Amino acid sequence: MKNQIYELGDTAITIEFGNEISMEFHEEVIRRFYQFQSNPLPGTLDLIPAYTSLTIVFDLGYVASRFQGLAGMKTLVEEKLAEPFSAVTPEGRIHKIPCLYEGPDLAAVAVACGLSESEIIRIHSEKEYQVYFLGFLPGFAYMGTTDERITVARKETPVTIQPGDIGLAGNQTGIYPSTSPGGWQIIGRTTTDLLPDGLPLFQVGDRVRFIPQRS
Amino acid sequence: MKNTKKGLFDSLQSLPIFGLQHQGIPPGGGMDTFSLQLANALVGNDLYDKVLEMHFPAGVYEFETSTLVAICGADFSAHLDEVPVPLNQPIKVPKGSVLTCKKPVSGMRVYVATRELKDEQVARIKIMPWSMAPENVLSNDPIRILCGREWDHLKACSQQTLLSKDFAISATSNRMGYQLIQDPLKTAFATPLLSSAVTAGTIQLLPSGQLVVLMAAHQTTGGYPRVAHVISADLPRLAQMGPKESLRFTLTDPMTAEYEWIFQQNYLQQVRNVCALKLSQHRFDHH
Repeated sequence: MKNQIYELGDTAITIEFGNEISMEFHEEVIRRFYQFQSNPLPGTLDLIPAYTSLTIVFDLGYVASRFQGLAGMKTLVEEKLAEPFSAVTPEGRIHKIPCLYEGPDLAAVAVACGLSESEIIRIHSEKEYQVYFLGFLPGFAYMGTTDERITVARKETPVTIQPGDIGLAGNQTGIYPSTSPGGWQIIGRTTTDLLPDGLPLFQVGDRVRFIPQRS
Repeated sequence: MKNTKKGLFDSLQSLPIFGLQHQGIPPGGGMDTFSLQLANALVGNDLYDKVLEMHFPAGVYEFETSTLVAICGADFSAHLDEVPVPLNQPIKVPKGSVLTCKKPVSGMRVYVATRELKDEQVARIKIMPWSMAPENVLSNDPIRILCGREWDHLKACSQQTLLSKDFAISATSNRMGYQLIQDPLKTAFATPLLSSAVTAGTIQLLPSGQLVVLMAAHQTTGGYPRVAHVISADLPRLAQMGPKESLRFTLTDPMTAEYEWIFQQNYLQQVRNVCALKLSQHRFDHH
């Protein structure tokens, strides 16, 4: 798939590198994130990586008065994408997260997947997960991909979820950093502070392992 | 200013703070950034300074020093020491004066900018003899939108509905987003999307066929189809609309969106320059 570049409203441009969750597209997002971060386009306010896309938010007044607006920036984005990479992509950190698998939805997930609770725990904690990007809440990391045997649908109606709750949704897993309504199936919880000093523990490109704990 | 009675939803707000969205931290900021900046301009502050944003019922505030104050945005029938005072006009206020908002007349959010008058003892409330009327900048025309990436997800008849029918604003609307009430819109196809970035003004199509306009306190990413985007210049106007009101959308183009934004920003800068000059002359006249 060729890169798709499109305007997101009047303040941002999104570059879409693919249309499915994969390590290949993820690595491309990370490389481009660091490329645009180390040598930003004029008027850049934010760089927002996601599963297969990178969005650049611009200062509208600045780019409109000096660079023919977003249309002009789109040309600059295309030029930059054609350049060879020069940015150094940092090696992501590995986080070991102690997890108490006693979530309120563990039993329901086991039934839905046709597995025992201990199999769910084993399968979930066996794999190392990639932090694809942060979004939804400050410090909330979209991680994946989970083993297809533990793929579950979101809840139909969101419920209140507590900080440290570990959930599943589709082939993703994640930890809620703060209290929030959410539709993910909660299978466990951790005491690890995901917002130490108010800053997110996880960064895009990090990897996470869940270490089962006994209560 | 000292808060003597809490409002329903008072907070100090500045312009959005960018640079942390890759950590899932949204830019936030005031809802009606035009009124926020106008209030700052009228008292000679920097346009991005923090101001008090209040909803109705608003809090009661007592001034602890001689202060220059400007009230912009919603008309909540603002009173200083039980005397009604105008919007969009700088006012000199003595120490001990009390600001109250009596009733919601129009608009959803009021912005109060203040500047301490360090070398002046104000004896009584004095309304400065100049005002800035933002009516020529903010109109009552339909809210202007740009097509979103997933505009085609709407069936042609629903695209027509979006551009021609009235949408009511749901009572559940807040600083994060406005839910709009209409007969459910129809989707042409239902391809699930991967989450990606959203911005203030992004109009998402929910699975129920209803629309949500993301506002100042929106999340950084979302996975619903982005059918359209409210242009930045019209977000302040939308931010002053509330439940029981209805709105219409009209399509515009990126050139207009950029022109309107620059027009507003230039207006605010001019107001700030004029007010700074008048304030310095005014002080000179009385010394």
